[in-house]
Amino acid sequence: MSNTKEIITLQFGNYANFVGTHFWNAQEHSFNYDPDVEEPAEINHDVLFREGKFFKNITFTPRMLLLDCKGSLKYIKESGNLYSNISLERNNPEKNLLDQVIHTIDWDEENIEVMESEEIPMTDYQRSLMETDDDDEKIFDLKSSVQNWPDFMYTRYHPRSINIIKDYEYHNDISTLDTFSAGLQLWNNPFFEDDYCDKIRMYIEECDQSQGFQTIFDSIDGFSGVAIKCMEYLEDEYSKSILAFPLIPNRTKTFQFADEGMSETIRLVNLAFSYAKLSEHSSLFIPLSTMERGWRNIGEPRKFPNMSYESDNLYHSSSILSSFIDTMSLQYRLREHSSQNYLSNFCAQMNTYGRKMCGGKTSLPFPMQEKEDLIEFLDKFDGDLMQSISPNVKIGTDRIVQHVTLRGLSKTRLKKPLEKAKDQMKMAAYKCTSISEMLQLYFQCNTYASLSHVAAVGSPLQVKLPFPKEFFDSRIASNGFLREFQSEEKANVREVPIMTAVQNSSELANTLENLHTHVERVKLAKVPRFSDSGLEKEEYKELLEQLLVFKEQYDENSFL
Amino acid sequence: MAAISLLNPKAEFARAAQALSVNITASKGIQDVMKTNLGPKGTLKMLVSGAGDIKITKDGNVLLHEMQIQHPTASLIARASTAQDDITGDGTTSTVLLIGELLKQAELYIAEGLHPRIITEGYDQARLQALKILDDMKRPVEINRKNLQDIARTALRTKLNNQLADLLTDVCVDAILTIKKDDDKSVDLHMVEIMEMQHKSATDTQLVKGIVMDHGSRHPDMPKRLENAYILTCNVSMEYEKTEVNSGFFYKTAEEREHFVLAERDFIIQRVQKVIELKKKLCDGTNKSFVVINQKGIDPNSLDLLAKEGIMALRRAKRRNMERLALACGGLALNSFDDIKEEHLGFAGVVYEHVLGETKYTFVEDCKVPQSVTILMKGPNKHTLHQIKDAVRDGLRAINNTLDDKCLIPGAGSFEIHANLKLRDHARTVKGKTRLAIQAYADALLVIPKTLAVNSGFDSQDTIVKLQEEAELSTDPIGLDLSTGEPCKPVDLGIFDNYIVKKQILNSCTVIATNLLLVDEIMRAGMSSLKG
Repeated sequence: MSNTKEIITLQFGNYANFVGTHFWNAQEHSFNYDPDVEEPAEINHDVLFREGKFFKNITFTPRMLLLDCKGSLKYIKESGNLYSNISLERNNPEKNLLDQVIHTIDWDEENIEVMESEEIPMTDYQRSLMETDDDDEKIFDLKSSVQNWPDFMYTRYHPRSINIIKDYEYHNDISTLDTFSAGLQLWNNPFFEDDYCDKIRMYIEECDQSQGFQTIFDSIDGFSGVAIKCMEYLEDEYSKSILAFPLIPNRTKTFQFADEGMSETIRLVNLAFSYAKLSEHSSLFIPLSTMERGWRNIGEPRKFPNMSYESDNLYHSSSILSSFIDTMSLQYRLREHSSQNYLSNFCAQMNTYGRKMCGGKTSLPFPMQEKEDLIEFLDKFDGDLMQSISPNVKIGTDRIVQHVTLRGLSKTRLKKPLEKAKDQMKMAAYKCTSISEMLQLYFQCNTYASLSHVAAVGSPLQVKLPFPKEFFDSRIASNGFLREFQSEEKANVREVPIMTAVQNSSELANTLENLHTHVERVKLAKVPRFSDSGLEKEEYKELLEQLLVFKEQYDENSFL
Repeated sequence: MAAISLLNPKAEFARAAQALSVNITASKGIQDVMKTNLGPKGTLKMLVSGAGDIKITKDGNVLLHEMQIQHPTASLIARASTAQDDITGDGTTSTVLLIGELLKQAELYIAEGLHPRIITEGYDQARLQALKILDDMKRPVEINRKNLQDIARTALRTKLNNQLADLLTDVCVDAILTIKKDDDKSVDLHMVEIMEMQHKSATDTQLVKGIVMDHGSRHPDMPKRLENAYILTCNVSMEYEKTEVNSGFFYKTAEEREHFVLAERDFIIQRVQKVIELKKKLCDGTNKSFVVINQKGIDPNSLDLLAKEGIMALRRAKRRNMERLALACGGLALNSFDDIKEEHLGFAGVVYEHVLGETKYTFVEDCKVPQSVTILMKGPNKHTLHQIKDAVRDGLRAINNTLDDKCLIPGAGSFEIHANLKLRDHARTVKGKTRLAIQAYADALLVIPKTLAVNSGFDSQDTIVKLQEEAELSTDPIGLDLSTGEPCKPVDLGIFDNYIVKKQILNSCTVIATNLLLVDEIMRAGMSSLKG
């Protein structure tokens, strides 16, 4: 019996799919196809992926459902590009596929009217995937050519994975599914709910012991409503852990028939609803964004040392968030499990006293030098080890609960062996025998009255195309560490060490209070589209109340 | 100058005649798109997306959903037609056609100076009169196989080719007749499960008098086929999981911890044992067998235990299937095993598994008195399955509507011909200009037989004149025979429509058309107007 505890991932919304696409690409890049490797990989890919069969071929696809508006798929078929209808193409490769289909229809051919939309051309990157095996050498200007997530999709999905909302169309500059309550309405459409829930059920039926769900969703538009409804359903039907990542994109669109000010208000209310309802229906949630402020004026891009990303590029920012999710989620998808490392435990350790909201921090790449040992690095390092990627969240070093994951540091980089140790011997940390132990000690010294869970994984984050590795600056060597000697030329980065933390502390009360103050000022009557989509005044009052109650969980009390 | 432009100079507006013509043009536009769909000889539309996704349909409602309708008036009409589908399941194309035609007729009179208000009043009178005519024309029917087949066939033939339509007619009628109670009330359509299998051809679609599920047992040693099976349907977790809430146990030694873990697992094992005990009591020594269908999960340990006893176990059944299973094979869906008894179990003659690609299907068949059935749709590809699915839904709705109404309306355009005649008679009794509006209404109704004729390749005026002549002479309703273009008697040919469908069409079309006619100013003063 395998010990795999499966996780199902749900993505709602366009930006969530950006992040998701990067996430799955990274997963697929970390597969090891080399049969000679002796040790099994540290990461258990069966947690996120499923094995399937299609015409006698074994497939390995993410256990994932994504949701987006009509038109966002572009040249990708709704059934995905993996399980295509091979039989038709094979029978008669010269003939136009369309004509063949028409011949199979049992209807007077003269009375068939073909309404064909213009064929959407594939991007160069996608075409190269179809043609040859991936080689990292070719250069695609993905940074500027990517318009939507299919443009850099490397992983192929199961046909079940892709869900498209017919009623709302994708536009480049406006977003059509506008309010939280419109999202609720969409879910309440019986066909939608039946279809979607059935797909979740089919995934979970395949799982022997599923440990729970990860949901990634856009928290500022109508997709938040769909996501929340879905979580409500999951809680009701499966009672398993739900870890949620509400996202705020770094580039926002205005809503249909609304100017910037109106759009800001709508975003704010959607966001408030997301947070309030997450406190009820999720096990734990970590808001993510590469922006510092997230309520009314989404702005101030976060700065990360050693890399320069384009602050309004969705393709760039989503890769940062995805690398965070990828790394922090290692906690519950390693092969070597102690019974502790499951999603349920992870959530339970972080959400004490109902403090279900956490902040995320990342350090991409982990700023260690090529020849340095961890012990030296930690000794010398001054400043913030990680940067926050949760909007309006500022967590210090006092009274925090945190989960830290460091990946990409092999054991040999811990410290020098005894005979060469020299000065290192004098440091207290020299007695530590593992990376996690040393980090544990580091956090004990650097935080006050706090609790840290630390995990260290040897394998680094693989950065292959289509990961936007161009944003690492010239100080980074190809193995992801800082170069000892400066060089003007950028290295071709292949992998990077990365450290992430999920943190909880009473300081989050400020975040929630701040949100509450902002939302309280909104006059809902001035935004008729909320009541148009079925939102009652009472519900809005309840929302404000719920936010306050949630905030109180974070207020200083005798425990922490 | 419109008042709005004083307040908001950027506002766009259209007034009076201009506003009316905007509305009429839009309704004509959408009418043109849908026109060719009507009737069994209409065109089949094949929609191909930019990525090459194919969708084939003849159903007006499906088409309206697929098209992105931008024009506000057109989308208002589209919504009326979608509502028609929600309420009755049929008549969407007719709705669009009739609204368009009502506006077109009105346009002629308005151009001659008749005030829209008078037309709307006339339309409303005409609607009431038409409803009366509809009531006179309805034929009470006995609920029997033949009558239900007639109505289902008429509905399905407008959506699929004749061979497939006839096959599905039988499938739908049998489905409803099987689960119908004796009181001839309409049935809960949720109790007809629709299951699709991408396999073979569309004509292999069949009715299964039992339940088909799209999952199977998850243990290699479980039996793949069982006969005379007790069916236990339950919603009880047989999966060991740590509870969500912080309920850690406290222990001093490693052994103690192990012990606690075992104790927790033991709790689940006991549940499984209860099932096994019951199975032993009922089945051992007989030719009977045992199947567990659980809405919750069953983990590999529990599956192992059950497999050793030769029990077939399915996990994560659909929520609605719990209800369906209880209706199909009897028994109760249990929420606990505390005092589980034989009478809680259902019974099925045969339960077997069928594997297709990566999906397993489980058939529960040969039930004694199935109150829930499954329509198993087959088709070689996705778009065929989709087409069948839409058609089956409509077919079932049509039959169910008949059970509700207990009456039918003769089809093939006969109602419209008849109503046209009667309304013209009625118009003569009306004084004043309203008479013109009633005449317009009567003429508008003819759009249905006209379009039917055109779609079948006949001349519309020729046909209408022939039909009207015949109708004036005959006491029976006269409709159009689409294969010859000659008048026929739809009652004899078994062509019927639902009463509620026609009634709904008359009501909603008149309301929408009058609303649109009364619009004398259209303005768009939104903050970001004209986008999207």
